[in-house]
Amino acid sequence: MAVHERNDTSSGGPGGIALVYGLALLGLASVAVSLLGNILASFSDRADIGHFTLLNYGELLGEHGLGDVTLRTLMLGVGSVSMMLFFGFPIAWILSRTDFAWKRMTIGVLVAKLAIPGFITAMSYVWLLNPTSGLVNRMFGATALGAEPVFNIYGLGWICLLQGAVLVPACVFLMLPAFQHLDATLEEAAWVSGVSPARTIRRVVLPLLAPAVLGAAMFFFVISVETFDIVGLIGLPGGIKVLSVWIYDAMHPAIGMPDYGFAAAVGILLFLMSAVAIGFYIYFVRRSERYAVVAGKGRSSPPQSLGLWRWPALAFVCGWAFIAFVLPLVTLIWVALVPYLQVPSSAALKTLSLTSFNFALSYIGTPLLNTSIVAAGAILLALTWGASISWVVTRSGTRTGLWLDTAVFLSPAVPSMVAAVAFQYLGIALYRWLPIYGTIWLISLAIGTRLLAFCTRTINAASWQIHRQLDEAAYVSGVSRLKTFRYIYLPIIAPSLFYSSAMVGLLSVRELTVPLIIDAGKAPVVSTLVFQLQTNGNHNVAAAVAIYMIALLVALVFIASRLSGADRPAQSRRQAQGRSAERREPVPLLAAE
Amino acid sequence: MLAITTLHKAFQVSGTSIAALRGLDLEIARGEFFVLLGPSGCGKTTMLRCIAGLERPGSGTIVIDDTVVFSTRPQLWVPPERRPIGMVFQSYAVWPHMDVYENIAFPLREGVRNLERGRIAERVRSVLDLLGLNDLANRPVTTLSGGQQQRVALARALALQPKVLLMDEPLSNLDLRLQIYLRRQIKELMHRLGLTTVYVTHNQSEALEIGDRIAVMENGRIVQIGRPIELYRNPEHETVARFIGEMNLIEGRVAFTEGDYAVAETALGVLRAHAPRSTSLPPGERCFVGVRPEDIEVGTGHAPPGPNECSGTVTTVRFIGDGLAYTCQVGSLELKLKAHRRTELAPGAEVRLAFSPEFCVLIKPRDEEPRGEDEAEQLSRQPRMAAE
Ligand SMILES: Nc1ncnc2c1ncn2[C@@H]1O[C@H](COP(=O)(O)OP(=O)(O)OP(=O)(O)O)[C@@H](O)[C@H]1O
Ligand SMILES: [Mg+2]
Repeated sequence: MAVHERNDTSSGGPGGIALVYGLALLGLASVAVSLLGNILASFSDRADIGHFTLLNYGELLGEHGLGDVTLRTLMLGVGSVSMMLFFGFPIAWILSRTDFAWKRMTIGVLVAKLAIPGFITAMSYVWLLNPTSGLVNRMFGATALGAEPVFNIYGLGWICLLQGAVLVPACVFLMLPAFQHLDATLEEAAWVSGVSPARTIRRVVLPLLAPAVLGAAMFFFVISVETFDIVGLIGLPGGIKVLSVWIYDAMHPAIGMPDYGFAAAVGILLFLMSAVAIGFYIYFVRRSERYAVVAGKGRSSPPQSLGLWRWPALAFVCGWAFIAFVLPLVTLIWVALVPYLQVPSSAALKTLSLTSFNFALSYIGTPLLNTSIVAAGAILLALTWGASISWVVTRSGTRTGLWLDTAVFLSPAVPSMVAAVAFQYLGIALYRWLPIYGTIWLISLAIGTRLLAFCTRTINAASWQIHRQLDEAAYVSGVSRLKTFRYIYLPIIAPSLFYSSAMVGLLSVRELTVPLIIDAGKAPVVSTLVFQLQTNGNHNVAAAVAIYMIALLVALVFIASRLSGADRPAQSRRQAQGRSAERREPVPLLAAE
Repeated sequence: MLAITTLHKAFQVSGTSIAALRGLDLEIARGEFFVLLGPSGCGKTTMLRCIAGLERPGSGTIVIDDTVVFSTRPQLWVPPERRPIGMVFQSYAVWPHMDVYENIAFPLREGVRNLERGRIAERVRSVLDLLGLNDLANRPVTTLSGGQQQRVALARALALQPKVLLMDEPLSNLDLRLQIYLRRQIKELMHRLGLTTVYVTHNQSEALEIGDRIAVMENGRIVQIGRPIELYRNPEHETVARFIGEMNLIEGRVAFTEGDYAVAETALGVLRAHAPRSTSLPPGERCFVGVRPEDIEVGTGHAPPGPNECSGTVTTVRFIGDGLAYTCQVGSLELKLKAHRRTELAPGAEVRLAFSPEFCVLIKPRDEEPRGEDEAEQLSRQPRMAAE
């Protein structure tokens, strides 16, 4: 009955698991850098890194129009979120609580929209609605000398509308679980107590949904004020100053060196704004979790019959799809096919050619390679750190886990702009030892860090569902922690790892904000290539490159949505018995952008 | 083989400390099939997990096969993978991404046992044989039924050739027939292998059937340890009396003791009851006299009651297949009795009840420390236990 038949040290003592802790802490360190680097930069002397000063804040406070710009940034966030909810709330409602006949189609369009990034959407609207050469304005003959343009894309209203429309899929997917899991008996209890259905919705259903909706609103507020997709394409040329434009300007001066100090000081202001919103977000998420516990095991509501309302509902969904999906896509294809911006006409049809696509091919080589490397690097980092952090959070049973989880959960409060500045600053500070300043490696690191929160949330959700006894069974059978991590934990959560990789890949290919700040002309990626082509007025090639990019994104979206279906295989569901109290619903598709 | 002394364990839940084990002592002999029995939440699982090293106790010592695996003074901790144990979980915990063979082979290959390839195959084959799993060797475990998964879990633990096998309610997820079949198989198998086993259950009939010895736990303490028949015949403590089988508890006060017997004054008059040394209560102390329904003799004559006798009225009659169950009003007390079906009585019948002193036991009442919440919880669980 000897147990230690061949006691081999290679089987790894309890110390082996330190590797996993190490990786988790590295991930945490990187999250810390994205904020601390910015704070450090904001106190750094412009000319002399390593010398600390308060000058940047002085400059910021003295800057002309600080109040206006801050206020406008707030309006940008509030406006975008309002537009997003204007479309998103009814769509989530239709999908979760009605017998709408075209649900599959609607979800299909929502998912497909993920393949058309915000900056490409914005770009096509610039082509359509800019006051001097916009296609729509030209159709009305409004670009003629002395005529008033019918539409002027360069306004905060348009930015908010487009940003809101672009965020709809993410918003719907974030709110949908709450809508679907609302316990029907709570409503029925109101009905049988003599409360009318309309009143029940007002007094019971809406208050119960409020935390989920407000939570989503706060989360997307942060994203609205930080992303440069729409603001960069419309606000920048249109001279609509918001905080992110200030940061961009400071990082891209017409002459001289980037002013990190000032950019970082503006970043702190942006961070404070986001931190407040994320604070509210956490508060609302907590509230909605508490409700979820109350609602517990209930059935979901039977779908409400729309009757003739199905036509207005269809029109509404199609309206959004037209604005956010069809119109940008059609415009893009048209612009790519004609040699210069022209209104559709029989004359224009004669000039159709594929030359822009050929041009695009000659431009796209290096950026495409760079984008692939950035995406691969981001996937590698986010997944290694994410899996390690999730293990510590869900399996180690230590206090470290709790802190780690909180820190990573809070990291989206640091705007991408701010994180990018922080990493760029770090790149300069470390340049002598590690020359990654302005390279795709730094872009990869920054994006990987940005997406870490998304990964840990997805992996945690899968991990909580899997019975801890599967690991314990290995421990009591004499298997070391590290080996259990490698052979039991990772294989079982593998579906969530695959899904996260696809999403991280997708989101890093789409990313414009981070590469735009970090790229110092040495590291073009596809998204910045489109941005540059558009800025230089090379519309047709920009459109063609964008179409290539969309093709790549479609492939990634397809993979991700297939994997999200396989997120919870039958086997792990069976093992999940008795663990439901700790179960958290995974966010089906991205919540990162 | 397994010795535990003054084991304490508390959980910190949102700032407050919940004592799950409060000074447990236990000694289990080599080859013994030992059952931990107790109501839900009494600490059985916690105890087992402490032995396995999945939970770190607050204080105490745990010795497995003369090797100290945990002690607080001196500080000593052996991690679970280095303890000579096998464990079967309530949820089976078979690894869903491996087939049956791999589930058993994986710990042998990658764990501290680290056997050579040939020996692994040999060992896996032999446990598959033992549990009749040969035909399933290459099936993915997720395609197995609950009972089959349970056997795979058992095979995996046995393949380790542990010194002590730990099982936490291994049968409670199975249907009743399968439970009864498998519990016999397990018992028979462990005896054949001579394996020391600690088996946790909250099902008293299971415990009585398979245990060589049983420890009844309550509130993180052991209240009585003994062979099944001893626990059934001589429950020393109210908890045990209420938890194992059915028993009439007649409240009273100890009058005096003589040898192995005590005399108590109760509502039914003076009763003489068996009182082993371990239940010795001083005169004047509150006590119960316990007597099992099947041990009460029912007579019908009209002679005045003699010693250890009383008369009462039948209130209800239930036919329960192998006999009749009566309730009988005696003064203010209601007694349960069970009789052969040949003694058929109608409600309202006057009867004479005789309590033979060998079948009456003196029982220590529960401590009357205020435990409001716990008590309510326990009561709410009563119906579930009664159904088993
Ligand atoms: N991880 C934990 N955190 C906090 N409290 C715990 C934990 N595990 C157990 N407890 C508490 O310790 C006590 C004993 O629990 P334990 O699981 O050992 O009971 P049990 O006897 O196995 O019950 P059951 O028959 O229901 O399985 C309970 O009060 C329980 O709430
Ligand atoms: Mg238990």
